[in-house]
Amino acid sequence: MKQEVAKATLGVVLIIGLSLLFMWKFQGREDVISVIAMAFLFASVAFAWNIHALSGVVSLGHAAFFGLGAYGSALFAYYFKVGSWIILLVGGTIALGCAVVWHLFFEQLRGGAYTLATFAAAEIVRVVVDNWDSLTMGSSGLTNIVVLFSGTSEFYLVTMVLVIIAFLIHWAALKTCWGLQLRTVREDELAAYAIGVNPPRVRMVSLFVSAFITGLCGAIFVHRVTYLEPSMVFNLHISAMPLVFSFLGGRFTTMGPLIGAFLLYSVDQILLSPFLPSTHQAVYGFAIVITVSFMPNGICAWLARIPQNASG
Amino acid sequence: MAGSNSTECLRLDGIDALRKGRVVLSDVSFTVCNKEIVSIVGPNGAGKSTLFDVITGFLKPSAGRMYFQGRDITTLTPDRRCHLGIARTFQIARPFSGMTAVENVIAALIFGKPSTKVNKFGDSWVRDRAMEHLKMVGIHHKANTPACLLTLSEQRRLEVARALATDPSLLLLDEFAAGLSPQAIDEALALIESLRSRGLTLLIIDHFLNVTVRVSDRLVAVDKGRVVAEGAVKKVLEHPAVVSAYLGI
Amino acid sequence: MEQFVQLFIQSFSLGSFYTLLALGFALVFSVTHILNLAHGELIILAGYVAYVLEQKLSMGLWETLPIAIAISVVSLMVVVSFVLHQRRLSELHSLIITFGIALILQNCYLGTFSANYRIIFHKSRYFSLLGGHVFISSVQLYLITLSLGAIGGLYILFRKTFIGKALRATIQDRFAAQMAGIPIPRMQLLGMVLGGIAIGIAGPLYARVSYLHPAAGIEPTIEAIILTLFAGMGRIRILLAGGWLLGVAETTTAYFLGSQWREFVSAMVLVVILIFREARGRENSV
Repeated sequence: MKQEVAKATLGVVLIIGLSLLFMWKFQGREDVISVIAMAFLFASVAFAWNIHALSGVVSLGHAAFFGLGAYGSALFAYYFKVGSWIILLVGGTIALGCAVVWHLFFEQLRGGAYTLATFAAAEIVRVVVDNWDSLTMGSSGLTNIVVLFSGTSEFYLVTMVLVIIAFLIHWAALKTCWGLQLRTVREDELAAYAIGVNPPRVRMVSLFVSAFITGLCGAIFVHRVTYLEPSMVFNLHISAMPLVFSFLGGRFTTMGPLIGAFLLYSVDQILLSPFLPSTHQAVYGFAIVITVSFMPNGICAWLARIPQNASG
Repeated sequence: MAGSNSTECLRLDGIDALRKGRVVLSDVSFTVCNKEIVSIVGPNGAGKSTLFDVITGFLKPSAGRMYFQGRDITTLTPDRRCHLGIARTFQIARPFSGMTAVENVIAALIFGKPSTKVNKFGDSWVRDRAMEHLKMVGIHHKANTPACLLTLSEQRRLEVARALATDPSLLLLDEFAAGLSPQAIDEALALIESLRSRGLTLLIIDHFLNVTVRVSDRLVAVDKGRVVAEGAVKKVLEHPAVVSAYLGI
Repeated sequence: MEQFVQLFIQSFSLGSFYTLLALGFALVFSVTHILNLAHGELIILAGYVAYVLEQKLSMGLWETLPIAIAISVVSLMVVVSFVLHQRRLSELHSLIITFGIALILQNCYLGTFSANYRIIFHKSRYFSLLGGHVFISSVQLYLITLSLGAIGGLYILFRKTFIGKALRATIQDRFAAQMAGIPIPRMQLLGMVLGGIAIGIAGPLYARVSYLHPAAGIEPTIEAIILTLFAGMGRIRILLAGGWLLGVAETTTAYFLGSQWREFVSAMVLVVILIFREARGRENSV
């Protein structure tokens, strides 16, 4: 346990150190800093997604949480003329509300059925937001959303703090007592029940934590880009991203989702996006297919395996 | 009632249970006393495993009540019953296959009783105690083997170790002796005796009547979801309803 | 009264078409147990092929169909065999991989055809029924004839031919079929070919009744999943009945609430079916 705490501390120090290094190295390159900040943001979503996935189910609908967080926060700011950081929490809370509904209806579902249900649930939320014109402005979208971050560096620091928090919660979901509970639940739910773990509650907590963080990320996102329309947040791509990052980086490692996000998002934005402006996102699909087929435990485990294979 | 220690441990009172709309238990009532070993016998599909599911809370009865140490547990979830001191094994072993044998037991040690403090997790004494449990069932040499790589009989012993790690006062063993070799059966019986000497109450499902009846204080015979006979071993085995249930006449 | 007959015609044609949409998915799922989330994308692919051939090269529907079918068969076979050759294959696994494939395809469409909404413009002729108050359009006639034709063809294949019966045996119990000497891989191949044909017919029709855009595949995928889960494996008649029911549900919603709520209804129906199946599966137990 002490060793794990030391590792987590090291992880936090590493994140802070590297991000400050980047900030110093790319001084004046707002575009690069902005990409790294977005990578941090989506890494947090990936952490959040994986916290839920660690309870043994795969969600293809986290876009619903992300989008509701974004819309909730933006609309709250618009209707109540609030411009403080509190509205971020509103975003998280609305996503949490959606998670409560999910929990009520999908509690019994497992495996493929759960994944399909989340897929459809995200679609339901999208259609509702898209068509509830009087509340959400529908497909015409929102513009001039309150800016919360005075500049790129501030946004960068906020996302850094966000990713550290998400990292710590994700670490807890792997290495602490809670992590052991999640592990027993995803290995065998009935056996977990028999040794005194309450699987429904464990899953519920992981879903709620996951949804809240995802909603928070959505809110931070929208107050950075300052405009919003349904297709921006409620799309397959947003649901896919955390899954891709977690699978790529390694779902059972504390740093996995962050590494995945960093590798893929920066490659995508810095290398691919300028050359393939409309097809660059296909790389996420390729990443899913390749990781799931060839390195099911993520790139770290895969890299660690190579020398073993070579020696025997 | 066998013995002088006839304090009530578990009492079932008119339990009915349904599975997929079919009645699988009807009006089941019996009592188990503390420190007793009771075997539940009956042919295939008699409802023995269903009875276990009901006692441990995996299946909600449609009628009737259950009391454990005088406390009504009818509506409690399986984890709460585990905390109160009811532990079980499954007919088909369900280890946490990705975890090592010792990790399986550690999990049970930590979550089996809510009073176990979180900060003890990972401390060497939890590990030591887990090793003790593994030693008791005789698989301590495989402590660091992933559970999925254990043989079937080792997995079953791991289940017992895991159930014991939750520190139960009532232990339910499902098909404990099925498919064991004669030598393994002797070991299993020795294990049961040592559990009894630790003061546990045991409820054992035995399909073949050949093993656990040797150590049981009492038998409860079940057929078609009903208790057809109950009492001393010899009396139950000679009971006409039991004979006809087994011979199918 | 006329309104309702009109609605009925619309439901009937759409419902038959939904069954056709689901056919490829259901066949692949029954024979290989793969839930193909890229199913809709393959239909959209066939749709785009038809769009290019008909709008740019001004070919007719009957000339486009064989080409669309050929392309669909090949692409479905590529997708499904890739998934089948995974080492650890579970339902969830197949969902995730085909989801990845769907993302790749969507972005390829985005690169090739841009995000514009496209439709095969079709000058509909209307035929009046019931003394002139009710109309049926030529598109609806196409939908009905082609869908029912494909479904009927498959039904006859299943019931009357030896190979169809072997395929049905494979669907019902793979292991028993294997023991009866039916070559499973070849049956899986046959399932893929038939599924590909269904997709190839559905694509060009889809491009007539609905707009093609890179992300349009979700809707047919959801409809296919709904009908397949509703009908279970290898039961064509129930699939058709489910298609009509869904057609009625969506047409009435579109009529009373507006067509933008159609997707809502299908997603909702999917969730309800999933929950209902699960509830039936476990009942009482925890």
